[in-house]
Amino acid sequence: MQHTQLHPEAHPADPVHTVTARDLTRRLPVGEDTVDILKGVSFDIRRGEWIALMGPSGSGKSTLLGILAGLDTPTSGQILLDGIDITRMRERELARIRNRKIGIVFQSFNLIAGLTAQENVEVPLYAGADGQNISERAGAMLELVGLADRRHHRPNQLSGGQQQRVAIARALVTRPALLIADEPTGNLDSATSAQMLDLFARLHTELGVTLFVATHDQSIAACADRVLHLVDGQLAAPEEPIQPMPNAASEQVAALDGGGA
Amino acid sequence: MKLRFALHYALRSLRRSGRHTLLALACIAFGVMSLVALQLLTAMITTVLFTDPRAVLGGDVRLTRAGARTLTADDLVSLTARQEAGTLDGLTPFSATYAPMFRRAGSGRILFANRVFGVDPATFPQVGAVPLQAPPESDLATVLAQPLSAVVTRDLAASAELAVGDRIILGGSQGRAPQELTITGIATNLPDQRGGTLLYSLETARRMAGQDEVITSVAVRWGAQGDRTDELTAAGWDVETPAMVRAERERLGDLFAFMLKGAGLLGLLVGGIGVATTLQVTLARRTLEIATLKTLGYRRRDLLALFGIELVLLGTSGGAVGSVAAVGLAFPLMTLMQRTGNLLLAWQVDPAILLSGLLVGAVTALICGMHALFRAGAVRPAVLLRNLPLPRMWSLTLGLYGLLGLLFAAISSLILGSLVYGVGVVLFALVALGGLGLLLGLLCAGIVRLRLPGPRALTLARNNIRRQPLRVVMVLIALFAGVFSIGFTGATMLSARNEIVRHTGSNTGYNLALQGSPSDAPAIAAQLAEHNIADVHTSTVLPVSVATSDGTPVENLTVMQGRATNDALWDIELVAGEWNGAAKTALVPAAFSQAPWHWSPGTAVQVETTAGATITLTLAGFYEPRDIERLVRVENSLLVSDATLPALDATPAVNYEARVAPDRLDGVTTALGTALPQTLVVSRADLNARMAQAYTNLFAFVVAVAGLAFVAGAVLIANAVGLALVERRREMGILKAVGFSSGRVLSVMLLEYALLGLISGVAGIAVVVPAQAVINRLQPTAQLALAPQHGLALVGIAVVIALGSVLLVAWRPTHVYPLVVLREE
Repeated sequence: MQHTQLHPEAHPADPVHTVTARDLTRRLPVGEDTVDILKGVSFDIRRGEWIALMGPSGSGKSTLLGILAGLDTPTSGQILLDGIDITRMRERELARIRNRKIGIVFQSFNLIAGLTAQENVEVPLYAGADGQNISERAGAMLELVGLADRRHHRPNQLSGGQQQRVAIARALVTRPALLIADEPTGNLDSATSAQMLDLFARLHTELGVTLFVATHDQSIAACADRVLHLVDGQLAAPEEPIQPMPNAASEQVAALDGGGA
Repeated sequence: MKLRFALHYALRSLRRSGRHTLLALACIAFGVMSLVALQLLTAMITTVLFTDPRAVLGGDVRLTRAGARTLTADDLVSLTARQEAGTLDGLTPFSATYAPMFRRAGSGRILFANRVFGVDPATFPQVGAVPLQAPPESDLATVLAQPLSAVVTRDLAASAELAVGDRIILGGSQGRAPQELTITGIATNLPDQRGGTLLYSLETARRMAGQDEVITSVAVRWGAQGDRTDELTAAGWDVETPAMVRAERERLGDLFAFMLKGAGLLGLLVGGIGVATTLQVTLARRTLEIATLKTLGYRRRDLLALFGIELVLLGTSGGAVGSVAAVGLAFPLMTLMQRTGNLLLAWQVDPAILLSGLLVGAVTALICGMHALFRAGAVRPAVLLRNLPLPRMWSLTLGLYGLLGLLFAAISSLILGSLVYGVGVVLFALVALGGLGLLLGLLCAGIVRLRLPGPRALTLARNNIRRQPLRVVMVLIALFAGVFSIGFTGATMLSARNEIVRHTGSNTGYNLALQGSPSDAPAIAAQLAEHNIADVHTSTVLPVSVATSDGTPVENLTVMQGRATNDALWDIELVAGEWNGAAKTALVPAAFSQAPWHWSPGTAVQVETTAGATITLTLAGFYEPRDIERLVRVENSLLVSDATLPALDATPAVNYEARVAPDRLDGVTTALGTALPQTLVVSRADLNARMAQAYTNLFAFVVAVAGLAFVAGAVLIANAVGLALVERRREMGILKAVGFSSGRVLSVMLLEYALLGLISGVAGIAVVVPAQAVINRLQPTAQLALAPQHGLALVGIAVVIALGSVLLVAWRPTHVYPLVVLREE
């Protein structure tokens, strides 16, 4: 695995792990009750590793993703990102972490409608400390994802796949330690999803991007180095899915997983 | 964050927001336009009011005699002597008459001026100038050189459509025949900058009055010895000084400034409310965008800076539009003020005031958008992963509103020029709004809890109202304010109009009066006969001065009326004595039989005409005027028979009072005015029209100001609905998915706001009634009353405004496909 192209200057605190999560719990009030969304989730992500997170709806994937991305704070537990404990950080510190250490790609792209592709990719750079060569850096990212000729197009002038590629370029432009993707192919057709998969594979293989992808897509899971299964707020043992409570939904999920990774 | 990127982002966002940007811009422009237009007008007015007080006086001081209308020859001699002694340097006499009537020769339409000044063209003005716009390159002395020539101010020339060379018939003082004058000049301005003025020479004034003593005041300049005010006061003069003028004008100027700027601030407040609510909607629609920026590492301060720049751009643009529009608005306001205030305002546009509009716009947008801005900053980025509600921020909200209050108090203080006024305005508004909101909220809460029969949609509407208390209260306050303002001011103005009509009378009664010289009498009689006007009473009138037999002047008797014996009592009741029309006998008002006069039949009085002829009359009795609708007063008259007047060798004026059918009055007045060029023809309709016009101008202005509240209400409702649509988008999708049609969803919303319009309208009217009762109790003559049909109409307007706003905003969103909405989740 090649790590240097995206992080030539990196002096990580933990040379092995990008992410270390220990006993993460998340409790949320729902009406008059309290629900444990996550129940003691622990895992590591090595540098340059591609992790797929799978699980049925309501398993806590979005919550875990939110905590990992610095968008949410766990009720208890610890999470180290590139050696930095982000568990009890205040919002402004988390914002800095999100800008410099994390790139996020969403299912519905979430590009800013009034800006061109180039400008969308530039947006994170204007919040960062390093304001040098913003235009060039953004242009290089667009070229990396194969959209150099679409840099002046607005999101409504791009296809779904192209929008997602712009989103990926935006997520990578700050050279994050971790790229998180939440159902990145959820709004794409199968052909476009395949193209997206190729791109992720290229980013992972050629650039050594550390990927954490939440997905229902088996083909993405198949490309990952490791698959984490989350069921009812708990991770199954590596590569072994936890048996869910028997109900029709669980059986359908098991069928979809097709015997899983 | 780079400034260029932020500007670029802000411009793009504003363009993308489309109609919301336009609405916010319009709100700011409206507020700035109100404020800047009224500031421009205030500046024009204060320029006039704070002109050199010496120019107002005509010299260093102006002198009059207390208790005397005109100065005597001895008075003038004494002043001339002081001038020769060096105490005074420069005298200019004035002969002033106020509220004269005139008409263009050959026209039947009566016109009104503010005042007539007889001046000495050789010495007037001592301070300032009288520039003429017509004839060009001429001066006052030249155009007034000929007797019976007159100069009018430009505003009077415009309203009466007068040009140089036109002839007018100017009504004489009571007892004098009207005179024909020729317009020989139009003045651009006068030293005191007051309009509605005719100027003529003192010689003309003497001819108008039929006497030499016409000077009412003299403006003087101090000689080498300086200020001699005390000396003149000791000599029995009333001295009007520049300090007095300055104080009076400062008081007036402050009042104008406060009222006009206050109205402007009100407009700014309305605009600010519109901006605040529009920005709330705009930023609510950009929740995902804001969350995205946060996931990319934008901190709260970055977002505040980014959106703050957007606000500043929006506010500055709105301010620029408002400032430009203000120039357009200020012009008709200036014309209106000129007409109603008789001020010769000079059109001026202060660039500093215009530029301040941009600043005010930017600051207003920032202040009013602050809450929306901070709420946007509080958006949790996790909303991108799951549907989270916006967090409740009561302490932040309260703190922000407190800060907004302080900022608005600062702006108000700056604009009103007083910290006390500025803070007072805000405190009053807060207390009033708070109390009002509480009352209306409780009322609404009580009503929606009632299990009233009605369609199921009504139940849904009531439930929706209960779910959004704060927004509902704001809508209720705005509509209530509109209904109450218009209801109260409208009722007040209508009652005022009734009072005016009561005092001025309807077009019935003796509604036509003619005044001419004796030589006109045959022509007048012929014309009256030609128009079949049979109910006519004639009198000859002469101005006189009356004294008791021991020489004590009697000030309340100024006119002698000669009447034919057989028609002498048509308008009076004899309360004592007898009347047989004998020569050298007179009737006087009954008041003279009481203290301090205690006259009785047989008392002798001395009467002197302006020409100096005298006669002794014996009182035959006392009269009280009958309660008759008429144009001419009789209460200041000695009534004598026609046989008495020839003994005075005077030329009286001839007065006719006639009763004409109201539907013929206008036509007859015009015809008589055209046919009798030397006669002043006045009808009740002329007077009523003048009063009605003044009333209409005031009514329109007052209702327009009160209507601002309705404007605020409409904007508030539109934005409240807009916000609700953003927040209830998913709910609407679900409703449609389970079978609600677009029309049904819309009808629920219409019912919600119809209910709110009804509640606020009825509450508004319900408060008008006791408010009027309080006024009527304090001032029994007020007689304020809101007619039931007007009250109902106002409630209807409130409901219509509410429904219109909802339809405008909600039509498209309620027709969205449910799948589009639900798929977004």
